[in-house]
Amino acid sequence: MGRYIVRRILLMIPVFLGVSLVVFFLMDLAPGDIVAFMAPQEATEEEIEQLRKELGLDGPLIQRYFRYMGNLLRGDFGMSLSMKQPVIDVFKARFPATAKLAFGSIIVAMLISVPLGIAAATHHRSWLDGFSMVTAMLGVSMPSFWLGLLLIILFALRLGWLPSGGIHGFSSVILPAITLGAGQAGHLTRITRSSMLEVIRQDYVRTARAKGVSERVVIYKHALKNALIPIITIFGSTLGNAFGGAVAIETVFAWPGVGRLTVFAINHRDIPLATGCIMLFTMIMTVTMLLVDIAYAYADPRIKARYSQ
Amino acid sequence: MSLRKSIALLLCMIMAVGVISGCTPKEPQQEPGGEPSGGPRYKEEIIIAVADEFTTIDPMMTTAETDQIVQDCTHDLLTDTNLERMRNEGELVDTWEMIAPDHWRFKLKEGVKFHDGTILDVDDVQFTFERAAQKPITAPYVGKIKEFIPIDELTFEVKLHAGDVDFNYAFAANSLAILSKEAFESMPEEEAVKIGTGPWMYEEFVPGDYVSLVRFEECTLYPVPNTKRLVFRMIPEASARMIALENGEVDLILSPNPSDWPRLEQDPNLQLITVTGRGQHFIGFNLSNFDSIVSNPKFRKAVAYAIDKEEMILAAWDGYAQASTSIMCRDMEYYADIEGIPYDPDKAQQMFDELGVQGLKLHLVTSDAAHRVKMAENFQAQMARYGIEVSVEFLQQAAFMDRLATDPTVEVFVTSWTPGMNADYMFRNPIHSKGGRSFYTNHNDPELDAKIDAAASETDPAKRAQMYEELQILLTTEIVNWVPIAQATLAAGAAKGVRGALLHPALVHQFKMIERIIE
Repeated sequence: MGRYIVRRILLMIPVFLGVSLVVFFLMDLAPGDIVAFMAPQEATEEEIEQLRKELGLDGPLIQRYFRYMGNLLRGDFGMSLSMKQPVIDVFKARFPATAKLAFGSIIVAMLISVPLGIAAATHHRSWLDGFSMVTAMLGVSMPSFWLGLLLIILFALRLGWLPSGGIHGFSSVILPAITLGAGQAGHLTRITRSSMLEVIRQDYVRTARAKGVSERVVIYKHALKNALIPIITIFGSTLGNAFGGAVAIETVFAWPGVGRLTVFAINHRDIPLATGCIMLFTMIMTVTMLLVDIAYAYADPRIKARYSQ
Repeated sequence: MSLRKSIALLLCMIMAVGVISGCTPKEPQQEPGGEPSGGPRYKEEIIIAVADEFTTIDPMMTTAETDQIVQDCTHDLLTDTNLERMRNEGELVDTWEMIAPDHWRFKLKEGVKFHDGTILDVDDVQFTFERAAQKPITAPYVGKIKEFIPIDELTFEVKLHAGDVDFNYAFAANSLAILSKEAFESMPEEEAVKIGTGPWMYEEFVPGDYVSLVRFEECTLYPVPNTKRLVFRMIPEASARMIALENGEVDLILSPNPSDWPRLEQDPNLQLITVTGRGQHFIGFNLSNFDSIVSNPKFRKAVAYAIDKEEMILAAWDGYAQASTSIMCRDMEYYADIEGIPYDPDKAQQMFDELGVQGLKLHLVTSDAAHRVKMAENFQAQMARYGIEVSVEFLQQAAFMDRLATDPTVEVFVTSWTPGMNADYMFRNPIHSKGGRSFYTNHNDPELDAKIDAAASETDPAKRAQMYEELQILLTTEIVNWVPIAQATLAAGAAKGVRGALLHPALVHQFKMIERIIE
């Protein structure tokens, strides 16, 4: 197992290199001179060149890339052009908000999807199954931007129960977490349902029933554990996406997270900040997937046994 | 229950949510005020919702509007635009005198206190200019100064490299806010930059969320505000800002959606604050593209006659803009109310026929800003009526600027120019061939340059007014390098009782004296 983990960690290196290459070169290829954009109208060509040098944006692209990667190895992600602070500090200041939202949404998604998916599978082709699937379809297909505004109008403006945005205490995380979690719940409900359907038709489940084991034990002890494997896989990627893909929700709820920060960096052509955010996202995503794979191995003794050999 | 029943059940639930959303309006929340009994009661904390991120309190590190709005509360300039009188006046400067166009004397106001308790003097101004010269963003602003001469504690003179009769405006650049020299000597730089002379002191910055200020109890330059705490909350989405205002979570919002303006006007608990912006939105031509018909002045004039500006304003700003007749903006010094080129489709058609441009293809570039996209699309539709086919290309702002500056094949573009209040700023950068980086029309005309230079150095105001009027007529009706379209209306929404919010035509809105009376 240890060897497997080491191999997975080593595999992360080419992923980082590939992402860094793509991001760095794409950001540079994008048309528009960020330095001219930042400089005041009164600036002369000499002053613009001076600013370019100070920002470290002078010299050939390859040279800049190697300089960037060299700094990256020392944990230096560069300075944000717009925030005038080290990228890592800017990211660190915003990350807790995103983590809160990501975990909040995952909790919402799990609370909805697992019971609903199990109920749909155990009551296959019943009204409960139909209800679950329609709910899941709604969750998946409703634009989060629209759902967010609807929830704000209802719970903040009309009922006044919850704040409309910002990050001020537990109550402020409820609406964004439900909005983000609703979409994730849709996916997870469908996966849980199909996974459970597959498992409860297995011989060992039939055997358990034939032995007189109660239906509750059959479902929650025998079936669910095995049905969890594909759910864990989806859960991992959902969590990863929640870290990086909550831009619309962060915008609607004025949530000070890294998704909004990345969009801000791209819109303002803040190359070090945008590159740094994407690199850090990649890191979080790969680490999350690694943890998921480890969990996957622990959930399925067959996989664990294969890696132990 | 069947699938159909499930769907029906869900639809009922959604309808119930919709019904609840449509009913039971909530009263806006209000926090009790804490000021003198008997007189009006003021809300202790005012929250302003802004669209963009706040990034830094250091005035010399940024030209972003949100940063400058916050900095305007904490720091002051030597001269600034008085938004009530719409003219350049002394802020930290009491009086000034132009000894010669290249030699100016300024006298500071007496007893102005910084947040660190020190008193403003000439050393602080000199220190600020020296620091500005080291910073890439501010170096161009102090680049005109050849020599700084301290006369006494409150008086200084500056000698310039070249004469500038509008030099007092140079000190109105927000990045040149005056800093405390002693603060920089006694504190780390990141703390010292927070020290200004404004009525608000920096309190806390939570990145991406809010920046808060507390009132400066010992402020000598302004009366001490009636509000105790001022918070700028970053809410990027316009609908969310509007909801936060209606919900009583914030007291004022910037840049509400034009579709919400009628609601702000009609709601008895809210108010709409507007000002005509100083951005001149225009259709520009690249005059040095001699392969294109846009280099022909008759064609440009015909386009000017062909454009129905009111229609374009309706398309781009829902009607909330003022049609322009001159390339100059209305609130600028020396603006002349000229007729310009009026909308005359018959005359335009006649001129196009004479030019034989039926079936002509033009290419227009612009940025992806919503109003520019709509302007470009409307231009495309209007030109189609005359048999001219316009293809439109939308670019990200930095890419658009780069394209204008480097691509000689550009024919037509849609952009805007937001000048300072002084007339020379209007003409120098985008129109004078040696003026600056916004010279996108590439109209190299030594005679025109000479006229701009002459107007800029004229010291007699009456003669100067005449010269600027002639320049406006020449550019708007003869050269027609731009077809000026409109100055858009800028807006803020506020709760009832909010006052002292001054909208700036160039977006650096002033909230120094903002307060909210609670009834």
